[in-house]
Amino acid sequence: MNLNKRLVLLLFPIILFGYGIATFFVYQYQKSSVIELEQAKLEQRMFQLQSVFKEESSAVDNAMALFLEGGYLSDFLTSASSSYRDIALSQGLNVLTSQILSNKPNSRLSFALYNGSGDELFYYERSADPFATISNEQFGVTQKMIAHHITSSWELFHNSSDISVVKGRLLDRVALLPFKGRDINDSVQLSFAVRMDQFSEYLATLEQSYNATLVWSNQILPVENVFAHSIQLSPNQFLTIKPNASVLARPLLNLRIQLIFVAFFLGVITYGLLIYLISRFITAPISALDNELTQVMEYQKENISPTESRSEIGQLSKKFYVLFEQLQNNLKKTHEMAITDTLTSLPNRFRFYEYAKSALIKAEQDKRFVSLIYIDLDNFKFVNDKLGHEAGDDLLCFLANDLQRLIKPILQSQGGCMVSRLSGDEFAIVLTHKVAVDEADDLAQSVVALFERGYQSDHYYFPVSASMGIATYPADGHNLKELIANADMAMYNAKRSGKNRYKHYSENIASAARRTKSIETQLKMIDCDKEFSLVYMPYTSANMQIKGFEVLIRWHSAELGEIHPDEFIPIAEQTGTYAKIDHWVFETAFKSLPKIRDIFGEECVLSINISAAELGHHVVLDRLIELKEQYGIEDKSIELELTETFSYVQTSSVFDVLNGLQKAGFSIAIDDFGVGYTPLLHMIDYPVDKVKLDKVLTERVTNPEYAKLLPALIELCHLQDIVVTAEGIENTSQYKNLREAGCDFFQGYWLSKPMTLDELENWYYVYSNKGNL
Amino acid sequence: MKKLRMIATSHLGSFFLYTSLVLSFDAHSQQPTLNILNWDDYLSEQTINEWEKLNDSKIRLITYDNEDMRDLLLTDTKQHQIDLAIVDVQSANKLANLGYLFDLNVAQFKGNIEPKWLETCGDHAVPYLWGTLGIAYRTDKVTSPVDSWADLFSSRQDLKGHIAMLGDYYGLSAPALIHLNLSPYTDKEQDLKKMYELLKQQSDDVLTYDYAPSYLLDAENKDDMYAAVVYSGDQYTMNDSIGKDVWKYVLPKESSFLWLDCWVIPANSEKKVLAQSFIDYIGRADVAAANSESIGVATVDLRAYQLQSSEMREDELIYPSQEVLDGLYSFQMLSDANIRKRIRIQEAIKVIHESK
Repeated sequence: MNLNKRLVLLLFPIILFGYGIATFFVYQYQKSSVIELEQAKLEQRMFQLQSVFKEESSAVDNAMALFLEGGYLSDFLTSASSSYRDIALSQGLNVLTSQILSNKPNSRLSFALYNGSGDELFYYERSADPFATISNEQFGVTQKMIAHHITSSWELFHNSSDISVVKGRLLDRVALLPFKGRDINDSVQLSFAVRMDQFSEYLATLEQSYNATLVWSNQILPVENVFAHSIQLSPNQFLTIKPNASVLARPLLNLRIQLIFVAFFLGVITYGLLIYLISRFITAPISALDNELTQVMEYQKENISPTESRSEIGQLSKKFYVLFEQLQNNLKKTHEMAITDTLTSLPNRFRFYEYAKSALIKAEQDKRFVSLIYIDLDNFKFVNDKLGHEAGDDLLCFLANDLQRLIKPILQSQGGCMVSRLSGDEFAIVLTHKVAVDEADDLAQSVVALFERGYQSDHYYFPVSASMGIATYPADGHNLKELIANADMAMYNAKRSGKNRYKHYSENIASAARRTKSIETQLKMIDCDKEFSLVYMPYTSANMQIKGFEVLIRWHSAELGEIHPDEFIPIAEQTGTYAKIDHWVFETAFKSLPKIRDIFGEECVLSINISAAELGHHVVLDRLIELKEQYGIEDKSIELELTETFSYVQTSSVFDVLNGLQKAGFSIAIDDFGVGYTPLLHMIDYPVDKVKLDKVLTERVTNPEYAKLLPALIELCHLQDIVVTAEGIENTSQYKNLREAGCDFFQGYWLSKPMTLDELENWYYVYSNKGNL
Repeated sequence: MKKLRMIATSHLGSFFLYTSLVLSFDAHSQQPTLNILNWDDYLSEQTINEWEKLNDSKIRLITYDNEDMRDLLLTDTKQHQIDLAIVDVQSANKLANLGYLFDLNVAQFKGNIEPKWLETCGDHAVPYLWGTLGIAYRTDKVTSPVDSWADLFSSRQDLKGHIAMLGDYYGLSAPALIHLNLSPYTDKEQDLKKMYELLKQQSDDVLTYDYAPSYLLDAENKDDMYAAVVYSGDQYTMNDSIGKDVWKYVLPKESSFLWLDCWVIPANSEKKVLAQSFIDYIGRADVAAANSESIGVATVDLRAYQLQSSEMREDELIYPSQEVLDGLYSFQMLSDANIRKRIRIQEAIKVIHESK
């Protein structure tokens, strides 16, 4: 039930009760007034009745007086009895009664004349009934007067159906004076009677309207009921009207109806007014507030309208306003948090998508370009591993600031630029520009410049760089998905192309990526025995004896043709197929070892490259040990070559794995020594048995200019009990220089190019016969 | 039977007025003046003029239009001015019995008067003219003739409010009684009650109870009267007073009664000789014939009848055939009590009518 309905229901009984009580008391008070009023009315009407009586009864007095003055009686008495005499008297009485009853043509006035013997001499009646005879009352008066010699009489009769008044005279027949004689025959008796029609009618009206009891009495009645009234009609005749009590019921009912009507009317007005006022000033504001809240909840409005009202509703409104404002702020913050990277305060990936989408839509309309610059830090993992996550975070924060700083001038001049952090060490810049490439290039170049000499924060120096890929709308893609994929592709290309650079997406990059993709696919479903093969590259000791072979993998793909390991190994490493390849290489090499030893002697060693990426896992260690046992390989028969890059992934686990391998009877060699970043320290700390001088180093140090360095370098290794192999020896002169400098083993095309297992026996036959041995 | 021009419609009023007028009359009269109480238009100018020349006297006509009023005048012992009067035959006999009339010793007037009329008028009165009671109606107002009492008593729609009845007790009661197929002389209470009820009921349709020719002279709504109970010969006066020959007299189908007027000399007249000379003069056959023809009413004189024009004599409305005459009620005296009852009825009817 809403408030208004409840209000309607609540107010109704209150108003009803209130006005009911008030009406009741007013009624009680007014009731006595009504009774008094009715009594006064009754008295007034009784007074009126009395007047009517007097007026109507006066007719007999007037008639008698006029009749006696008019001389009609003497004319009649002196004339002989005839119709003429009768007509004359009748005419006289007509004139007389017409005068008296001029305004009451229907009144009944009668005249009777009797002689002393009681015989009727004349009877006249003015009425509509020509056959009427003298009434009993009038006759009674006549006879009584004659019998008792009463000279004058006035009587009121009310017992019969008609009320009448009779006035009579008993006169001397000759003198026409009141009869004083003894012989009644000398007298005449005359009387006038009037039927009290008006009085009766009025009385009947009263009787009916009051439903009254009429009481005729000889004396005034004692007052026993307030609501009654008496009037005197003759000296000894009183008429009392006692209205029925029910008569009061009607005015009281009227009063009740009136009061109820007034109360109802006032009640309705009050009720309506209250409902209007309450709804106007209380429920309507609540309802308005409710509406506003609904709108706010349905997101049609941001907040309700602020109000200045001091009422409770106003206060409530204000509080809602404040509450919503807080909620809004919180929501904004939450939203900001949702689209902001907490570490760097840069927009996050979510925001990046949002922004990039809208930028593309806008660019489409404005015919502009949008470039997506994907930034990926090179060697960031190294920072985290080496310097800790705090330092990594420090780097990211600093870089975020620098990137913001870089785009600031762009923002100020043309807007349309945003830098965001996508994840980890990935950043992206969205740039809207007018000219096809320049601006994106400038920006990318300035990012590259940040890393010119590594990267410096307040507390740290980071040996990192950035690889970037740029894809530009509309040339490099029409939607965000394409652009992201292409920028990413370009970024990876940059990374593979040597890091710390940026690459525009191009068809070449795309086809390179496609090739990478197909290599990846092929690797996943490769039958190793069918497509892979091993080749063996020999190395000698100083006395030209074959001491071992570096095992190299060859891939002849049915689909793609010959693929160099430099191309597919990194792909295998990234896609996780390297373990399969490694396993095949080791197993195949282990299988071939007995045959090789049959040819080249029991001390011949196989050197196998192992991916640095695998060294973090004990699984590698277990698997190698298992394979070694399976094929019954003696200790020191297998040498594992690590490329220098392992240095960057060194961890305690790598260290453990290397130690484990050494204990298991594997020798450890460092490959490509001299061109990478291998710190000297590694040679001290690590369980290394051998280093292999890189081809470039070999070439350089065999040059007479640097010849002095070579013995020292080798001596240094020997001091650590590390033997040294020189790679990439191309001629005998180099070999001689290296042998003189104390190098232990020698490998290169000067000796042989890599050979298949089947070729080895032949080659060895030729080699032996050349007299090298 | 004509009316008293100077007397207003109210009976009582006319009564008092009349008396005073008559009394003031003689005072400045030089010639002997004969005061004749008569209906209006009931004595020809020629007759008057010739008599005046012959006798070197003046005739002053005092007219009445209601028999009851006339009788009151003639029975008023205080007046002595009326020298000669025309009364209906019933009144003549009654007045004679009560001693209000001079004995004319009529036996000596042998003349040519039809004996039955002479006999009827009695010793104290000389017959003058006779006629019938009937109905006059406006031929231009009603589509069908009003030729029966029933037409007046049966609430005929076209007559509602347009009927004039006679106001004296006999002229009012007789048509009603004849219509009720009762004797017009009845004194039975129940007959009179029936008559009263009929008259009471009819009063709705009645325009006036005044004598029709009088009403037409005085009233403004002359054209409202379509039918009236009148004495034969009244139609001429009525046509004169409205200036159109539209009133037609008929003898009602149901029967009616004859009337006969007589000359009387009141007992207290002071010019009895002069009055008698007038009676002698009017009794001359030639005078009677001319007088009768002049006013269009039948004469009682047989020789005079012979002297009249054939047109007059053959007019059946003036001289009805014997067959018609046989069907008419003739004269009969009513008792005082009967008269008294009828007067009360007549008064009541007028009270009822006036109250409407």
